[in-house]
Amino acid sequence: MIDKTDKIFRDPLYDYVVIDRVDDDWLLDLIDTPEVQRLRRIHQLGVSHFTYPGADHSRLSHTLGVLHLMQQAWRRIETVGTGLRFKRPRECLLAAALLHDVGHGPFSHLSKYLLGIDHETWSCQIIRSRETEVHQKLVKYDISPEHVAALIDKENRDRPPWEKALVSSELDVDRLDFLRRDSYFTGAGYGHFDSYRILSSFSLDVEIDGQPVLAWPEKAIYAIEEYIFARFYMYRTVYQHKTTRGFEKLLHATWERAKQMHSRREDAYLVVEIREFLDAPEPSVKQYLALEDATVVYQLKVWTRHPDKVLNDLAQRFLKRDRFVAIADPVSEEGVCDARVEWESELHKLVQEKGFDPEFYALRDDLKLAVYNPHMPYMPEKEEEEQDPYNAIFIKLDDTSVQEISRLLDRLAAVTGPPKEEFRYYVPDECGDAAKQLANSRPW
Amino acid sequence: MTKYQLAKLILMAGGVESRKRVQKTVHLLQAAGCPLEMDFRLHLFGPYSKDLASLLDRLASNGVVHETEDGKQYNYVFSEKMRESLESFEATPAGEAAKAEMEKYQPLLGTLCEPRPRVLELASTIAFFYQRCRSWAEATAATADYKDESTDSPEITAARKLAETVVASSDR
Repeated sequence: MIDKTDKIFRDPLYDYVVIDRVDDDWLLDLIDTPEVQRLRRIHQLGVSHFTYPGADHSRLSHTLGVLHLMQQAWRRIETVGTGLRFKRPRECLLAAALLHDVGHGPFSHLSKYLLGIDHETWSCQIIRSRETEVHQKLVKYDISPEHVAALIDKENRDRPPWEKALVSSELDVDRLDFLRRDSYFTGAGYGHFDSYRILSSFSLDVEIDGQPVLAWPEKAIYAIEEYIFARFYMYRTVYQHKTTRGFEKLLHATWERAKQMHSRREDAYLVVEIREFLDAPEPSVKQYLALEDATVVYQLKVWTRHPDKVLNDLAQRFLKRDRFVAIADPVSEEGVCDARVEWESELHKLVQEKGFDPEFYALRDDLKLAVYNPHMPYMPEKEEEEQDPYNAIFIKLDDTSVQEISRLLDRLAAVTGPPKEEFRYYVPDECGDAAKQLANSRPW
Repeated sequence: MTKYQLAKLILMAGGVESRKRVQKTVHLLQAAGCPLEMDFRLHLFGPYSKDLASLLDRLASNGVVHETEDGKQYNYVFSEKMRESLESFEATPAGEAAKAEMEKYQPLLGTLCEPRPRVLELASTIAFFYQRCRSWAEATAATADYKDESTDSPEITAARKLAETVVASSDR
């Protein structure tokens, strides 16, 4: 039901994201802060729009979706969490949902590799910093910034696990939104599941190690199964798409070249926002927030006029969507050591013979590096003694016990095992055929 | 942590009983300065690394280690079929260096194989907090609070002693 006083955001997934102007005017104030509005200018899926032209959705639309789902989750908590009493948990949970991604940098998760710090660290700094409007608005409405940051900070264990698990766990409002949203905007067709069932059926009455945990009844098991399959399909088809990963690696290589020049005190033609960030011993929140997708795109344009051939060429290739060729890993995974030294050395030799510097033109993509990436499939811990909400999804068996879901559904074994150790290599088109021939020339 | 390091650790320990023990042992070895470079986060049952869980599963699925399930827990032993692969790597210059680095920690690994899993879990949690606050009293109090234990319980006392031994060995 929508009242006349409600603020409505139209959304392709939920039709309406509704905020009550009377009870929750603070949320509208928070949405209007420059730090949250900046999320309009950050692509939700990094450079995936190079592969999926529709994937132009922003971090802001995802953030509002997460807020909407947290509102739904809270309605469930009001029913099942009557014994739980904390100061203003509703406001803190809604604020955490809205602000969990406020620290995303240019091209979202890609910025972790470019700038070296993950977005959650920045989200917490932005919330804690007295300089930001986000912080000032929270204080104005008597909502503890520390409590909100503690919900997002993965290192912090001050808040009860069920609160943190709603924000970030193996089954959280973040993933429930981005899987469906990314599926919708890429048009990839995966990522469908009954999120309404998931958010309206959990309970909080079973404890692990003395702490209440989110657990689902058996009637929700198929909705969660769909969710787990959606995670797997989206990971394999969208998040690890070889073209997207190729452009990520290309951008990374371009950035590394510029950083190398800058560290040698050569003029890398850095735009002011990037130069100030890189030169600061400890970059400030203000310096970080000055970096957006557009800053990086403008920087790339500047580099296309740079006299350094490598920097100039890499930037041009990125902007023209002149992609590198992906070479499948030819090395078998058997044995106890990484036997890639010989293959990589031969590949580097080949790239060099074609006139390219292998440091920037023979790019290795190590897919297993991304275990803590939220886009990874569900890989539960299999030993009961080590399971908790951060590494397992629990189904309630009775009033006192739970079981990890893949133990109840054998067919999930196909999608919940550890991904194979996987590498890909990217080389310029000019080297592609020769590199493929080399890969297939003999067993490595 | 590389495949070699984990395989070598399991071989040096003569097998490891339970994934909990693998997790906490690797965390404590890392606290002792062993360059395993795993990203640990604090879970309800102490420090836990998804990277490590995933690496262990990959070693088991590739036959580098042999996994058995014993009711509630999983146990691991080095697979003899892989000894040749291990030894041929150790004969290379990179392998020789990696072997020497791991074998430096053999005595400490022996110490970590002795305590019960609960003490190992508490010691690992104390070491986790200690790395952040640099005070044994604070780290012990934080662990006792987190794990709902008394700060002077026998298990917490044993765990603190073990954590102190581990961290002290990193200074040597």
